Amino acid sequence: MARTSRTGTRTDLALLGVALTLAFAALILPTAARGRVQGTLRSSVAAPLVAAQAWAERGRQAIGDHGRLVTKVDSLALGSQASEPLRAENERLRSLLGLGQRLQWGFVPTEVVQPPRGGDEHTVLLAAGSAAGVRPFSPLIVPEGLVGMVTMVDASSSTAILWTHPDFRASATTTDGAAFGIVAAHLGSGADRFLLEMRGVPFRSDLKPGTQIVTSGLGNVFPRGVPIGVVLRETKTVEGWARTYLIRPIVSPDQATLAMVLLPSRAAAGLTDAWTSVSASEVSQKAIVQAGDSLLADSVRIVQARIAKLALLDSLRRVAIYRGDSTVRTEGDSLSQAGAPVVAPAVTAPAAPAVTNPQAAPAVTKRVPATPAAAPASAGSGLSVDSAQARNRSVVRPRSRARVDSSKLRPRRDTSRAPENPFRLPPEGGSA
Amino acid sequence: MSGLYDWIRLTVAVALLVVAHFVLRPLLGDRIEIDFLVLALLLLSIRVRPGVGALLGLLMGAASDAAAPAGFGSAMLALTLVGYITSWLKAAFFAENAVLDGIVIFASAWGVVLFRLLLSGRAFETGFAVSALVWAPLSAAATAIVGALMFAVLRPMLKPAAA
Repeated sequence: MARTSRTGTRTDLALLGVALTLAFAALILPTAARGRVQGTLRSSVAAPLVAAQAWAERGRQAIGDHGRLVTKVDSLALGSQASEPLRAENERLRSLLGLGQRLQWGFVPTEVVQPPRGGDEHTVLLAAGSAAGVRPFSPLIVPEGLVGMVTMVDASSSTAILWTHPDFRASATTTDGAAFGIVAAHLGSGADRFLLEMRGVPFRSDLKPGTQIVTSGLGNVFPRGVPIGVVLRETKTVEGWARTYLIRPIVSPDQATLAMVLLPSRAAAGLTDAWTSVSASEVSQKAIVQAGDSLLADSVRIVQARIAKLALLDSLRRVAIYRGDSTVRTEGDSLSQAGAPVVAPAVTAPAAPAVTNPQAAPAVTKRVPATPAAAPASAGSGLSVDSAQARNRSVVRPRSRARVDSSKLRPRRDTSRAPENPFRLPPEGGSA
Repeated sequence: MSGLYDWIRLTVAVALLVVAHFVLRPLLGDRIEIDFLVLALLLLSIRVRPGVGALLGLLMGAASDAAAPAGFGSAMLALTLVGYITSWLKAAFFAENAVLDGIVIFASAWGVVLFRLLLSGRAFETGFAVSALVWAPLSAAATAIVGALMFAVLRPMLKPAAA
C-alpha cells in the first residue's frame, strides 16, 4: 500500500514536472515562436473557443454601441428640433428682406421684443424708437401685410397695437376700390376673436367671399394698398344703414416677431409696387401654370389621336388579314410609313369607311379578279367573291386595281337600285 | 455504470463552464471577471490524481492563453499549479462546507490572476497595484461566490472521489 502511494507520488511529481516544463517553455519562448504556437492553437484546437470569445466581445461591443447610438440619435433629434425654428426665422428674414427691397426706403426694420403672450396680448414692444425715426401712428407691417400701428414712442423703443386691439381702426377698401369701410377687430369669442370686421360698407356694395381687402389710404395713417385680409361673409349688425363683413386677416399675430415700421414720409409717398408686384408675380406664375396645363392637354390630345390612328390601322390590317387582301395591307403600310400628322384628314378620311363599313371600301379590291381567266368564271357565277378568288387573293398586287374590267363586274349585281359607289372605277371606254 | 454516468455529468458540467468562460465572461463585465476555467479545473482536479490535475491545468491554461492577447504561458503555469495543489489537498478541502469551498476558489482565482499579471510583464506598469489588489480580489470574490453557490446546489453530482 505504501509502495503504491510512493509510486503514485512519483508519477504525479513527474507529470507535474512535465507540465511545469511545458509551461515554462511556453513562457520563455521567443516572441516569434510564441506567436506561431499561439496561432497554431488558435487555428486548431482552440478555434471554437476563440471564435466564441470573439462573438461575445462583439456582442458586448454592440451593447455598448447601442447606448452610444441612442445618445447620438437623441442629440441629432434635439439638433433637428432646434434647427426648425432657425429655418423658420431664416425664411422670415428672407421675406422681410424682400419687402425691404420692394419698399426701397422709408422703413425701419425692428424686432418685436415683447411677443403677444400674457397680459395685454394685443400690444407689442418694438426695438426701435424715435432715434431710428419711428413716430406715433406709423404703420407696422410684415411681408404679408398690415400688423398694427405704433402708438407710443421713446428714444430706443416704441409700443404698437396689433390689429387685434379693440382700439385698432384702419380705413379699408377692396382692391378695385368698389367698396370702402372701416376695419376693426371683431370682438367675438373663441376663434372669432382673431377675425376682423369691415364696417360701414354701403348696401350697394355686395362683397363676395374671398374678396381681398387692403388699406384705402384715407386718413393719412396707412398708405393705400397694404393687404389686410379677405372677406369671409357678411354679419348681421344692429346698424341698418350699412353692411358689415367678417374679414379673415392675412397676418397672424404670431407672425409679428420681426416687422417693419413705415416712416411717415414713406407712408405719405404711397406704396405703389410693394404688394402689387407680388400679386403680379403670382398672376404670372398662375399664367405659366395654366400655359403648362394647356400644353399638357394638347399633348394628351395628340397622343390620343395617335392611339386612334394606330387602332384604325390595326383594324384595317385585321380586316385585310381576315379577307386575305394584300391591297388593303399595302395601303395600311403606306399610311403607317408616310409619317403624316395623326390628325391629318387626308389619311383618316378614306380609311375610316374601310373600317367602319367593311363591305364598302374593301369591295374595290375584293372584286378584282386574280387572273383574267378567273374573271369570267366569277361573272358567270353571279357571286361577288367566290372561294377560288379568295384563295388567289394573296397574289393580287395593288397595281391590278387599274386593270379592273368593270363591264365584267357590273352584271353581278343590280346597280340601278344600289347606291353609287364613289370608289368604283369607271368602265373602259365609257363614262363613269 | 454509476461511475460512467457520473463522469458524463461531470464532463457536461466542465464543458458548460469552459464555454461560459469564453462566451459569458466577456458579456458580464469589464473589470470584474468570473473565472469559469478555475471552477472547471477545481471540479476535475478533486476527482483525479495530482499529476493528472496538473496536466488538466496545463491544457486549460493553454486554451486560455490561446485566446489571450499577451502573456502566453502564464495561465498554463498558474493553472498547472492550481490543478496539482487542489488535487493534492482535496482531502482537506471540499468538505461539505461552502465557506471553505469559497475560500479555496477565491485563493485559486486570485492566484491565477496574480500569476498572469506577473508573468505577462505588467508588474511595472502603472495600475498594476490596483489591478492586483483591487480588481483581482474582486474578480476572485465573484468567482468564489459563483463557485460556492454552484457547489452547494450541485453537491451530489460534484462529490469528490475517494482519495
